[in-house]
Amino acid sequence: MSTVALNRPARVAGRAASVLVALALIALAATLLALQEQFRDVEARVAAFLMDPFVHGGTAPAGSIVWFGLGTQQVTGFQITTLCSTVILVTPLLAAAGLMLLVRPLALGRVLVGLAVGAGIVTLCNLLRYGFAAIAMQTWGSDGFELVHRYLGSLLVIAGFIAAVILLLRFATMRSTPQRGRHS
Amino acid sequence: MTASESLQALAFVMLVIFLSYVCMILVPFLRRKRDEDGDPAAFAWHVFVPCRDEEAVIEDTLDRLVTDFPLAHVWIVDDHSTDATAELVSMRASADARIHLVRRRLPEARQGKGAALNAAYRALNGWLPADADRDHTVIVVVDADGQLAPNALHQAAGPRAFGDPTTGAAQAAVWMSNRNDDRPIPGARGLRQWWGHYLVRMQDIEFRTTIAAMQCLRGHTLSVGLGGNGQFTRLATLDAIAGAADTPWHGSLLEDYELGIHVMLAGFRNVYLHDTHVAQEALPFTGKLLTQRTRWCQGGMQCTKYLSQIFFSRNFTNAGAIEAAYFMLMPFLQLAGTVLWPLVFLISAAQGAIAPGGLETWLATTAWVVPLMLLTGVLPFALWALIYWKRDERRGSILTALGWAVGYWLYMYQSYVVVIRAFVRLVLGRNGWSKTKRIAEYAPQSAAPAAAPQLEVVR
Repeated sequence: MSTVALNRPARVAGRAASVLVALALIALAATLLALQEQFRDVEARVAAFLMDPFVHGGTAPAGSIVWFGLGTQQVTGFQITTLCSTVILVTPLLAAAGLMLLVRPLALGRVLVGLAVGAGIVTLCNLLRYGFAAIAMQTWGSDGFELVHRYLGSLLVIAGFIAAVILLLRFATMRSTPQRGRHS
Repeated sequence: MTASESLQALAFVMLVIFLSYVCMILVPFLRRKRDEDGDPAAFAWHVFVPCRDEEAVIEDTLDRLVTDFPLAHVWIVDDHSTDATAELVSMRASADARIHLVRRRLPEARQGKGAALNAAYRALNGWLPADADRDHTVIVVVDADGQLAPNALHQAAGPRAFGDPTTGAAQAAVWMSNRNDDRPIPGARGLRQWWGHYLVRMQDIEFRTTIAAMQCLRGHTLSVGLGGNGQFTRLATLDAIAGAADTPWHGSLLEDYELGIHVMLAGFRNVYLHDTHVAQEALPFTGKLLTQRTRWCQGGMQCTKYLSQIFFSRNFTNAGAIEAAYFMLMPFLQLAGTVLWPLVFLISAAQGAIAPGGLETWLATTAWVVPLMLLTGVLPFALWALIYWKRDERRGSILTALGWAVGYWLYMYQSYVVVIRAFVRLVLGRNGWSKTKRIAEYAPQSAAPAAAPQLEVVR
């Protein structure tokens, strides 16, 4: 039996696995969009938990609202809206990874690593934005909140999203070794 | 998620994809190192110059080519000119064995630039001896007004270009020959002249920074695009394409980019030569510029027919396939943007109008978006003009640079007009184009020859 004959079924199986994962990623992206309300509730719980050590007073989630400053004179809550949610950042990465796996025989492991890194970066950036906004609110009042939420926070999220897209592409396409016609 | 939120989210994602692309082209462009020269004597060089009604420029072009490139043969393809182009070239050819005239006549002539180049390819095949070393023969395509830099063959023979046997084609950087001409429109005055000068400068910025940066990225993804001027191809590569697809050049309106795709599909590399260039006339007329860009855009849209071949090709790198797909889909994304961006704005304004406090409150509460818009919607365009001023054409003060930066940002809006026109033409199946006139032909004192019906373009 030739090497080619041995490798071919493995290649076909690998490609089939990639296609299945690609479809799963696209389905996951669609599911996240469909269940974004529930996702925002979870996000509020995570944000409240992570912000707790860094803000004055206690924190508590209520639906998609994160309350902070509990037990102090100033209790504030901010709502995680759809457009502020990490869903908006993670969904395109999932869809992009899925589409790339569908159209090209990319190394599945590398795409998943790139996706994990990218999703991690945008999630971290968005959580940092929530945290910084809360701290700014307690330190400088609503002006501080506006500055961090709208300017610095937006820039942080945009920069993180750009980094995530570039890293996803970088991981997904690295070490590609094309055959070069008669010269290969 | 509401429809409004969906549109805003989509607009945000498209913006980030665009900004990511800008970062991806900017970094390799700023970090690139100069390419080494090679020995042009290691190759045979044949320059193809497709012409139609080029009597205004062809003699100067011939002079330049035979003087600057004594190793090269020059093949002028006359595509049934109605002026004296063929006669002028014929006289020169009879006196210089390195000049060749390929005459095409109707009804075969005027089938597009690709057909003209294919005719030159056949003529060259008939002229070359059977034992010619086709691996070491390079075809150079230059427009009739093209001015190839004197180091072009040295760069093309370099170790990263044809010195590497896997290289099938190369594209030189493109500069605008009339970029420093203060009066680019013959006979025009005042505002019209100023506007023409502005358009010329913007085209030079575009080619020498933004497009050059795209090509630098493609150098890494191995998906460099070929242009119609300053295009180099190894003869053996053209043979391989002709063997698989009948002819080297094909019928898309962007036949040069199409050739680049064929080169890569055939398993060869395209490389970008930033350290040499070809200079061509920039268009100082708004209408002509929009027409030229619409043709290019429509040609790019036509090339999407290669997407499935690119995706399934083992000869494209993964990064190259994704880059090529993005490039081909860019006009469609831009088309979506022409609807999406105004829609997002209108919806936001409408929501503001019906909210408590009305439009005034909405304007006050959304003013924070303006600095972000400057940063994400203006700077990604304006920065190219600043780079150009710093690295390529340091003229005037920083105010000149800032003026160019604002001008370049505004200039980029032409692409929205272009993409809509190209899409409409694509849908209507309109593929015919008039030849772009040379600027010299607009001189008030010149008597323009009677124009025959022109169906296809030869730039």
